[in-house]
Amino acid sequence: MDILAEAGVRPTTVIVTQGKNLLTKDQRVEDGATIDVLSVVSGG
Amino acid sequence: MKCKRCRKAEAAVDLPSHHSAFCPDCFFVFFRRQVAEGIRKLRLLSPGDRVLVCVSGGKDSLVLWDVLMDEGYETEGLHIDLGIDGYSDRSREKVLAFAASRGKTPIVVELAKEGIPIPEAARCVKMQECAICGTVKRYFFNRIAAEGKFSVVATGHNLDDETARLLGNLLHWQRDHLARQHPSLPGGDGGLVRKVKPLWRVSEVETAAYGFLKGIDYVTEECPMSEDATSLAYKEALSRIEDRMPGTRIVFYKGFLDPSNPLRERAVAAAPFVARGAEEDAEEEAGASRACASCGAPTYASTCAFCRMRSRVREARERRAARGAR
Repeated sequence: MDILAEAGVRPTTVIVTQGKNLLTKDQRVEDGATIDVLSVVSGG
Repeated sequence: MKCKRCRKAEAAVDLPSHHSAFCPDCFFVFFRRQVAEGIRKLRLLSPGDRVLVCVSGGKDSLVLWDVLMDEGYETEGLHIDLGIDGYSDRSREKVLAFAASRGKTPIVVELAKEGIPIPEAARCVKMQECAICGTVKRYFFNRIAAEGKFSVVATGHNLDDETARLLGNLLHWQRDHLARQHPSLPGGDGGLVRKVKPLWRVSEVETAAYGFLKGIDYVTEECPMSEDATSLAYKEALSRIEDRMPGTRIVFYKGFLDPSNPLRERAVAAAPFVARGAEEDAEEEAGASRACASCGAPTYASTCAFCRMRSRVREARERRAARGAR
């Protein structure tokens, strides 16, 4: 959650993944770990 | 955080709007129940339906097809190749790969072959790109469904899509559009097929989480022609509200759908064509529906919106060719 807040990303607009796992807002991410922040918002 | 349902596994999906969090297995149960409940409450589908599922390659439509198949509905997929360089190829690949993984072969309509690729149409018709695309897609959804004897067309519109549309319609007091907004649009005489939106109760985050956890490989890039879509501004506003007050979106939409909502009663009364299930653009003329003089599709004008649009594209092409020949 802190990572998203720092990046200015609202949690209702993305899912956060690490490998094959989804991360919840309370999960800790180790320094140097790779996570993906995927936008879920589609237009049109 | 532990799963609030099984209380054993670690939660993978956190849903403040439901005051809940689920592990993957329990989230699948929750998500499918949400969709099934949305179908049951509004009587969107029945076991005997033949469902034409419109699949773009994005998360919502592929998840919809996946859930409907798992729920035992008889389904076929329809993909409209919009003719957008690169993006359409990648979208189509995702649809074909997903369909193959479920032993299906989708129906594919190529707009370039139909004479109306979206980028060219956008240059020739003075309408917002997404409105052009919507008109063209609705035309083929209905045509393919009618030709294939499908009883219903299903699209992947989710709660975020529906509330963004509702907010836009309210802000501009689009009474006729409000009257037409519902997860179930009935069919009618003259080949108008019923349309439903079974994902109306689930959010974009929930749909994306379901797709990811199920291993559904969907297109994550946004359509390059929808960057200026007004729906994005409404979604942005609603997501800010949702962050501050989780659950607002579903309360907003359920309240709109409530039959006792006076706004909805007035909207339906003011637009009698809703009872016949028309979902045309704003150019339609008042009066009874008839067959399009050009293609025979149901319309409220002498020529349907799609044929008028395709004519404009053809005329513009001929003008360009004539200029080139001089």
